[in-house]
Amino acid sequence: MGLDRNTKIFILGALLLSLFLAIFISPFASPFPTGLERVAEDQGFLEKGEEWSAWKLAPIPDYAMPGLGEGALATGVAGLVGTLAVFAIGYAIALFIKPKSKS
Amino acid sequence: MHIPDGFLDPKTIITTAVISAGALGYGIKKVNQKLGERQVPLLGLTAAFIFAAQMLNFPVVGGTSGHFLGGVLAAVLLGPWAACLIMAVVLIVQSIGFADGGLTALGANIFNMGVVGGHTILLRLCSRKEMRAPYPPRLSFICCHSFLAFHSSGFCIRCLSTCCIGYLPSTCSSSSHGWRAYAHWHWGGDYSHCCGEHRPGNQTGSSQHLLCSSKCH
Repeated sequence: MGLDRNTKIFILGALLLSLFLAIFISPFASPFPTGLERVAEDQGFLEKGEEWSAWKLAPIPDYAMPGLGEGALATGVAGLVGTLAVFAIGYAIALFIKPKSKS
Repeated sequence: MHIPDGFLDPKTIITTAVISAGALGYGIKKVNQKLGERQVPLLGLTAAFIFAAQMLNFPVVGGTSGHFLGGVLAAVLLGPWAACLIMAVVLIVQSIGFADGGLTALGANIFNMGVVGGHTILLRLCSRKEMRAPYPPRLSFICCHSFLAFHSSGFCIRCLSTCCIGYLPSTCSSSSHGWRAYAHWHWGGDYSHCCGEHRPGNQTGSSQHLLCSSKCH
């Protein structure tokens, strides 16, 4: 890796911050519906989004790790997996677009 | 909540998918040209942070919640085209992995949060010099613009973009209530009341219904 020490520390620190937010803070997120959800519910078209779905195989539906119930643990683990997955995929795509220079 | 499957009509799905795909294609080209080697990990890092931050819903008003979007944060850090890519990564993982946002609505979600979110007009007002500064940019700069973006991208910018594109969701409420309800839950009533009184049901329609469906967090 052609990254200097400070950059590596910054990346590690920011990743740890993201993981902290996703694992330990997300269980305390507001359970209220979002604007769209609330409007859809009030106007009676929320079912339209629920009765038909193009993709039913999501491994972690609704940010709750299957098998861990609905509580803080399920949310925290979902956050951990999701954050690492997004980091890995984002990094991989960036490397694919911008391969390391040969120097 | 991002836009799920079943909310948008085929016209909307196709239009937004084509625009988003075009933006991503151009984004890849731009990122290849502009991104420095040491910014490569930052792309993944920004995406990971945005994913984490999007999980943190906070109460807004009258029993609803909202969350950070991230498009502008990404644009401030890495430029608007990289922001499109970052938001696409986040949204694709959310849609396929977490059932948040429909697969058919992915184009619309990327358009709202990545393309529009990353290209907010506000961003154009920042000084060029600051845009080119090595990362991390000044914290105050990021905080200020992320805050502005939260307010603007949630409503004004989306209104603008949706009016321009003029897509019309078929399944959204066909009365003016959809629009009013949307404004109500987004802004806490005042705006919707004023809007409802001054425009008693004879709106031009499309842009307003649109807005209702283009709400994405």
